[in-house]
Parts: sequence; C-alpha cells; structure tokens
Amino acid sequence: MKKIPLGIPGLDEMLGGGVPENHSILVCGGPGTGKTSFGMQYLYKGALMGEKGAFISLEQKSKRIVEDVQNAFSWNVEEEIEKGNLLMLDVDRYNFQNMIDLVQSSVMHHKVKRVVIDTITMLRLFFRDDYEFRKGLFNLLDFLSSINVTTIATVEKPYSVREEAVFGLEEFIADGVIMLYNMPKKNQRIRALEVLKMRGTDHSKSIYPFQIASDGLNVLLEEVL
Amino acid sequence: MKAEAFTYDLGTRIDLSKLEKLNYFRRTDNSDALVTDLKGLTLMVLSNGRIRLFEHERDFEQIRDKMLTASIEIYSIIEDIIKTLGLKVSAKQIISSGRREELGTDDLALFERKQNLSTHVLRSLLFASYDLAGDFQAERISTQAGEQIGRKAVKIKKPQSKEELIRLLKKLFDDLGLGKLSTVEREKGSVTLEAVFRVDDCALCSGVAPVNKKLCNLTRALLRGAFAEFKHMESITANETKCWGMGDTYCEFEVYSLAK
Ligand SMILES: Nc1ncnc2c1ncn2[C@@H]1O[C@H](COP(=O)(O)OP(=O)(O)OP(=O)(O)O)[C@@H](O)[C@H]1O
Ligand SMILES: [Mg+2]
Ligand SMILES: [Zn+2]
Repeated sequence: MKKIPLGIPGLDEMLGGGVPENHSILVCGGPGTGKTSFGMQYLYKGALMGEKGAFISLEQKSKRIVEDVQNAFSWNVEEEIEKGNLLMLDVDRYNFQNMIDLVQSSVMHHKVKRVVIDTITMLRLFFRDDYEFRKGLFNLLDFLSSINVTTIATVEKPYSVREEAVFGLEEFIADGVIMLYNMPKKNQRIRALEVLKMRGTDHSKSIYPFQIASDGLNVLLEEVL
Repeated sequence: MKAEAFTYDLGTRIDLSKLEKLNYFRRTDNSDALVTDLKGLTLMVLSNGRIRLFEHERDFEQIRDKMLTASIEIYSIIEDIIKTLGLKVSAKQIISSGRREELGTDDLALFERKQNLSTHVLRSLLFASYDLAGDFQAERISTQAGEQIGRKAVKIKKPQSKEELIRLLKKLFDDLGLGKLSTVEREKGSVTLEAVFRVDDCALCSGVAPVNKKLCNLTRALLRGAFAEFKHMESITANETKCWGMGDTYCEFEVYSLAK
C-alpha cells in the first residue's frame, strides 16, 4: 500500500511513512489545538513535492486563512496558490452538493490529490438529523476515496484533554483518526497528539508532545508523555 | 478512464478526401478520420488537423517505445500529408508540435458534428444511473458530464465578456438539444449572484412526474463549469431551483461566485 507523507516531522515516523493513499483521516481537537495549521501543512508540503491540493474552508473565508498562515509560518503559500498547486476554495456552508461539486471539479479538472476539509463539524449544518449526516459523510468519504484522493478532515471537539474524549459517529466512519490535545501541565498547557486509529497500517500508540513553530507542526518523538 | 496518445497539430482544419489518394490510409467508420497501421501503432488523421498516434492499450510508455522504432515512417507520412495538402509548414515544425495527450470522452469531436440523440436514450441512461449507482453517485456522474461540456465550450470559444458567455451557452443548449435556455432578470439580493437561467423543454426532465428529485445535475454542472472556466476561479456554485422532477414546469438555475 502506498503511503502519503503528511509533511509533519515525527508524525510521519509514527505512521511508518505517512497515511495510506486514498484514505480519509480525521484530525480532531479542541479550539486552537492546531487543526487548520495541520491541514495547511499537509497541503503546502504536498505542493512542494508536486502533489496538488485543495483546501475547502467551511469555517472562515479562505482568504483569511491564507493571511493567517502567511503571518504565522515561514511558508510561501501564496506562491503555491499562484502556481496552481494549492486551491483555496470557499463554499456556501449550507449546501452539501455545492461543496462536493468543488471537490470533484478540483480533482477531475485540476488533478488534485490531497484534500482538506476544515471543519467537517460544519457539515452537520447541511443535514436535518444525525442519520442524514452519517449517510452524507459516508458518501462523501467513499466518493473521495473512489476518485483517488487522500483526505484530511478536521473535527472540532469541545474538549482539549485526553481524559474527556468522547467519540462521535465521524470517528467510526473515517479510515484514520489523529487527536490533537492541549494538556494542562503545572500552570501551562502543552500540545500533544496521538494516532487513535489508522486502518491498513501499524502505527505508534504513544502520545507525544508537539510544537507549533515558524516551520509548522513538529512532533517531539524523544519525549513520550 | 485513463487513455493517452501522442498528438501532432497541423494547426488548421483539413479536407480528408484530399488525403485519401495516399493509398496507405483507410477511412474509419465515422468517416471523420483516416488511419494507417505502423509497427504496432495506429496513426490517425482527424479533420480538425490533428495527427494522433496510439496503441492497443492507449499506454503512453508503449507509444513512446513504438514511436522510436517507427520514427522514420512517421516523419515521411507527415511530409506526405503536408505536400498533399499544400500546407506551408515544414515537417520539422509539425514534429515539434507533438505532445502527450490525455484522451477523454470530451474529445468526441464536440461542436463538430450535429447528431440527434433521442431523449428516450438520454433519460433511460439517467434513470439507470439512479437505479444502479444510487442517488449520490448518479448525481456525481451527471455532474462530471456537465462540467466537461461547460468547460470545453468555454475553452474552445473563449468568450470575452459575460454577455458573450451567455450567448455561447444559449447556442450550446440549442446545438446539443438540451432545451431552450434564457436568462431571468432577478433583483440582486446577493452581490455574488452571477446569473439566473431558465430552461424550457429541458431534455432531461420536461414532462417527467414529480419524483421529488432535482434531475438536471448535468445542466447545473454545465453552467458551473462554464462560469468556473470563464472566470478562472473554482469557487463558483450552481443550484437548480426549479425542476419538473420537483413538480415545476420548467427548470431554473442560479449561479453564484463566492469571494476568492
Ligand atoms: N509560528 C508560530 N509559533 C508558535 N505558535 C504558533 C505559530 N503559528 C501559530 N501558532 C499557534 O497555533 C495555534 C493556531 O492553530 P490553528 O488555528 O491551526 O488551530 P485550530 O485548531 O484550527 O483552531 P480553531 O479552533 O480556532 O479553528 C494558535 O494557538 C497559535 O498560537
Ligand atoms: Mg481552525
Ligand atoms: Zn430539471
């Protein structure tokens, strides 16, 4: 099975090289845990390797995200957008069909291989009830896989520590789940992550601290928590 | 569908009947092309001026290998074609126009031939896709077909203004027999509203029973694809707001462009 590197040092090692191609991975976390940065790093590092990506923004205007990322990190995201290696897509957050249209068109017409949906929690707004949501989500992830896309979908969680984790139906449908935490330690918080599941490959079961710095996310494998 | 060829471009439409006197060519069934076999390759000359090389598997690596062994023959056929047609280009120039080409159904000579497909066949395909693939996939299939057509139309005709784009779309709907397309003037409730279209006598849905489905994803995506291609921007959405399938008596579509 071909692995797609996420471009996040440390995490790719935890996964034995990356995530399995065509799989859909959820990145779950509380507010400010680094979900959007994770997604942008995956696309930016992919673009540098010549793999095109699309960012579907359901939460903020994509223009705002580009500004924030340009300010926060040393990456030249604008250049990759200019070159067509990175598509930043805005979508009406109340229309599921419109969103899939954009994904489909990016993949079929622009040869996109990496897709980020930020955040999938917003998709719930498209549906009447949980049953419809589950069906829609299943169709979406299945579709993405069938058109050979490796997807990162972020999920908002109302908690930031591991002990409080409760799983939603998303975690059962997706092929893989990565949890981002912001854990209290003495009188500060430290960032940590773990791979909760990853179908089709072995992975590290430990929880490791990570940093967000000017070159993005970076997992510190020397310090198991 | 993954299929590739290697293609040269003569840069002009050509009269294939003139080339028929080159006795190694034979006409294909649809008579829009001449072909000849060449060391495991097929060389095809199309009336749109393309010379296409492909092999059995439509696999690029294999084409390249076979082109190497047939390079002298290819060169002399191109020289023959140029001489016979009296073109003012050199074989060298044509050879340098050669490029790897991905083949798709949108290469089926769109806009070059008018042929009527019965609405019955079209709708049978449409309903079969719902029955076999389910609503979600059926929608995606129609969407893909529509996007292809809309983008291709804009790529070929290159409209310079929104008015030209709309005129092009009206003609396209006529030519393809999709229905009668018109625009609807609508109070601009939203700055992002690009256009509202109405389709009468829609090939996909007019007259169908109200099955509680919007049936015209092909049309919807055609409009979206055309605007996306025209504006060089992906954040375009199109919605079907009226459809026979929903109990209306014509189709209506709204096209929006979301901020970059
Ligand atoms: N260069 C940097 N150095 C250190 N920390 C940074 C840097 N850039 C961003 N951060 C931190 O990363 C966090 C932002 O992450 P991000 O926006 O990706 O999180 P999120 O989970 O998407 O948040 P939200 O819940 O608001 O959507 C911020 O808390 C910010 O402090
Ligand atoms: Mg975010
Ligand atoms: Zn309709």
